[in-house]
Amino acid sequence: MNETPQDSTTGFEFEQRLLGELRLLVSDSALRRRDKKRRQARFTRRPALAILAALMLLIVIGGTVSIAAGRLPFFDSEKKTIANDLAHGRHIGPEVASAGPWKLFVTPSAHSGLIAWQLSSLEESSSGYFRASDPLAVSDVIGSGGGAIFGHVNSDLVATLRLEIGVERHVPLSASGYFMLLIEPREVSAIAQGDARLVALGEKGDVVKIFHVPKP
Amino acid sequence: MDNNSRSNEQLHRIATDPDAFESFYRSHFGRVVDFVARRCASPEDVADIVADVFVEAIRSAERFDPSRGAPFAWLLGIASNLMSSSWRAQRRRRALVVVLLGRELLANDDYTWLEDRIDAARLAPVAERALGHLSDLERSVVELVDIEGLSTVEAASTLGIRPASVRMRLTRARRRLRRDLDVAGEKTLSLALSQRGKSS
Repeated sequence: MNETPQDSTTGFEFEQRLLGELRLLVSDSALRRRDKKRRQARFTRRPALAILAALMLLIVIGGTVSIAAGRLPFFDSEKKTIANDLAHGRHIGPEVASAGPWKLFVTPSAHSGLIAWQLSSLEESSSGYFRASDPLAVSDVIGSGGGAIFGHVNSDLVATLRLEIGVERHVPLSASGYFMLLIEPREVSAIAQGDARLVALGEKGDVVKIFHVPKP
Repeated sequence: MDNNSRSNEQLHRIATDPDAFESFYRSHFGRVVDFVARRCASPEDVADIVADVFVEAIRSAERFDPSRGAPFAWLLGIASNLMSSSWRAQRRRRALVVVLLGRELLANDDYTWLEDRIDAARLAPVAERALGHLSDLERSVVELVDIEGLSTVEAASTLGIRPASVRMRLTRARRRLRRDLDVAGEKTLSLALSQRGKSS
């Protein structure tokens, strides 16, 4: 193959202009190649991070599921026991508070973080759960003939409770943190309108927390 | 490092190094223009195809395989493909989106210069007519081997076909050319082809 030098022609600018454009193209494509390599490098690093994140997620989910799976059978058996007691007219646990005809029985769950309660009178019975971690949990059983509010205090800061329902009433608190207070028929409408407040007081009578008694 | 190795290394760098590209471009520009001018009728077409040849070279420099031929043969292969009839339609479509159009770079002086190159590259009218009767592939084989001086192996890799196919098509093309030139009374050209056929 013979390489012959090209002719030089005066006034010929095409070669030069084309060269200028092509040099720009080469510079541009070199830049794009560098960008592409950089993107590829990032991309190749990404799967490793994704795999690591997925593994950690699996460990967390797996751990949570296994812990929950371990707790569920216990919780289920506790619920069965409570349901069985209620079905047979038995109390679910020890009596922790009483007021008038009402008696409050509770049984804390060792696995669910809940406290099952049972409110019983001679005529009727009601049941539910408090969240054991709540500093103050309140529930009520209200009818046209009156009712009761009751709950559980789980805070060392609370020394006593005061119910504000038009007038201020002292709420006796048991050593185990449970309380119950009878509601007179005239007080029912205030509770029904959400006007009743339960005020938690500290040892020096300072207000620790104000809690609106839930509407029935 | 021998000249071939240097040339191959330079070729791999033309896509990323503007200076390497300039050196490569200046080494081959003139012969690429002449090769293209032989097949094109207008300066615009020559400019477009020459521009496309180098754009394609930049795009495919990383795929260049030195075992398949020298860089110049590789460039001629790109040019042959761009000028073949099957590529013309594609080129028209590509023109809509092509990065660079050679004709946009042409000034008045360039038209004159390219017309001169086309005239200089043109074979005798009778030879042009005879070449025009060949298929695109046969014409490319004749141009690469008999005019540009590539070996049949280099022409084969340039055109992407087997060397045996190149030899077969070359023999057939020369036979047809001789017949057409004999009919036209061009005994000198016909004899030259006969001698080439015997020597290769």
